[in-house]
Amino acid sequence: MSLTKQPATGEAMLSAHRITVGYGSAPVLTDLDVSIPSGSFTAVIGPNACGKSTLLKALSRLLPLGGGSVHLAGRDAKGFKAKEWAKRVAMLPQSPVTPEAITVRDLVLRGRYAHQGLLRSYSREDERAVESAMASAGVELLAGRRVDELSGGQRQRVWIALVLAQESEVLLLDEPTTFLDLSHQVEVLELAAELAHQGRTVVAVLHEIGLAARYADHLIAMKAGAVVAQGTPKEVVTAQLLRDVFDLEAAIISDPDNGAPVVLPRTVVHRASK
Amino acid sequence: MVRAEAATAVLRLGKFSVVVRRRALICCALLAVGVLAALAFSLVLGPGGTQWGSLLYGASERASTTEALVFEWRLSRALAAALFGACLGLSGAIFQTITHNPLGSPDVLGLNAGAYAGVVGVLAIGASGYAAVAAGAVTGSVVAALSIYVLAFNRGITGFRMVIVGIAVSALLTALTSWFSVKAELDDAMQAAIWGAGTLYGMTWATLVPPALVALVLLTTCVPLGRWLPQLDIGDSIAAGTGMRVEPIKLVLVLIGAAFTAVVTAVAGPISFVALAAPQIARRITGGHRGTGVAGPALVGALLLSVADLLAQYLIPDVKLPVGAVTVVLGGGYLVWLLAREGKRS
Repeated sequence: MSLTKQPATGEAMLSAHRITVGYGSAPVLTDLDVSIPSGSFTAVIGPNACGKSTLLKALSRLLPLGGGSVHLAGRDAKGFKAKEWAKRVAMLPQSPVTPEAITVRDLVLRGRYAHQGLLRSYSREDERAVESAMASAGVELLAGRRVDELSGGQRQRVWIALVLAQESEVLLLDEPTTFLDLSHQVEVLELAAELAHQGRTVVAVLHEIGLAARYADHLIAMKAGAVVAQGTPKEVVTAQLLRDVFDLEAAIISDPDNGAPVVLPRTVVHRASK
Repeated sequence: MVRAEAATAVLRLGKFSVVVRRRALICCALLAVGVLAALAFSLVLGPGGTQWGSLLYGASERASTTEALVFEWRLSRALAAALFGACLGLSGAIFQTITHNPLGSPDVLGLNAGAYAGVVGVLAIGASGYAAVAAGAVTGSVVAALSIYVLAFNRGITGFRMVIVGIAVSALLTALTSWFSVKAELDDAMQAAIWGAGTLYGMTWATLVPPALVALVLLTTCVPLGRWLPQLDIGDSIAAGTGMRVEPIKLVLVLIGAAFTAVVTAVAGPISFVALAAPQIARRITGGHRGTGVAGPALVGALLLSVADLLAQYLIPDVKLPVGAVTVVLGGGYLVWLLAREGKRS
């Protein structure tokens, strides 16, 4: 099986070279290579506990590397200062906890930390970035509302507005569609695709392969801490890969609208080893 | 619907800019007036008090010796209450933010117990006097804070773990204090117990000025605190993603928070409740999330301790309670309310 494509060279905005990462003694990822193409929407897919979130944390510098290196536009991530890095790479972790009684605008403003100083907490530039981030995420009408009074879908979009306000070239989103109903999932994915069209590099961990194939330009499929395949949705989403990665027997058809692969699940493969 | 952000204004001056909320500004102004009123009451209340019409008369040259003494004793004690209350309020805001928990205040985490153990330890080895007690208290609370930090550290500090470790360290230190007290000479044990009640009795300019200078230096940290504390509120990993150096800043915060508690405890003994309640009360009265920044917890703390000290002095005629006893009673009620509320939420 030679599903693994060589990482695209030259065009990579963010890349990991032979990284080893984990929590404590047992590494979750070992000698892993990935490469995120510039100005694209990349979706990371794979079964639960395959190391998708860990990969995102390593790419965002939230987790220290046990080995290997991460590069941003060809420069070693270690060489960046915290704020300098945050201006270029923003990260939204999984299911953040909403602070009590904070308004939408105040929470989104927290995304400006790297651009602010001790006595410079709301410059005109901050104001513009916050308003524009709220508009992009579709929460501008909620600006004065308390975040803890919003619905799950609205809340998720407020968090996305926070990382948008950071105005970084790269956006890393860990399961941004979890707990959202289908229309809100589509909204978030359309936003991610739109941001990529505007030239930003977006990476999201997604659970739903069908939606990932529909909206992402680039897919990274992972299993048990290893990258099994990376490439365009058409290259990656195959019957063979679904069997290997998700233990799923499925038929693949083509979306009449845009040619994206559509997964029709048939049955779960029960392996002898399980 | 709570319109929490109604009436905000942005002040900009060259490179500097800051958001001002009307409600927060009004709350802070009222709190400040409350603190000033408590200072005035401290001069007036009780036997020998000044007349309302001649509040500052004791400072003038025409005042008799008695009047000057009353003015000096009462004002230094009242200023101590306000200043120390502000320190405790800030210390509480810092530790509650690091632990993301309204129970994670320095008194619950064992900083007071550490200071107490330090003082009893110093007395047990034969030292005595104001400086020795202060040194013991500062050492004890800083060592307690660092022990909690080190014991709770597991690739970074998580809030709940720190609260649990803090409660355990607190229990250990209390046990140590009991053991010292049993072993110590009766006089030393008595001296430690009096200190341990927490009182502002006998505060004079001479005893107030050194800790007040330290406290004023510490208050300058309010500038970075006003930026760090709200940012940590959004969660450690999100704050890190926005460019905050979360773990180093937490260590600095633990040291600043411990210093705020230590400077008070060194002089007045352990005073509980103020650090626990002030930041939470500040949030409730502004109806918003950190609307008042760090000014709220500081002013509420100042007002709480000022009022508690007035109650300690004048609530029961002819009985002078230690202020620590008053705050413990207030704090007990508050803690029950807080636990009931948290229990309902989860």
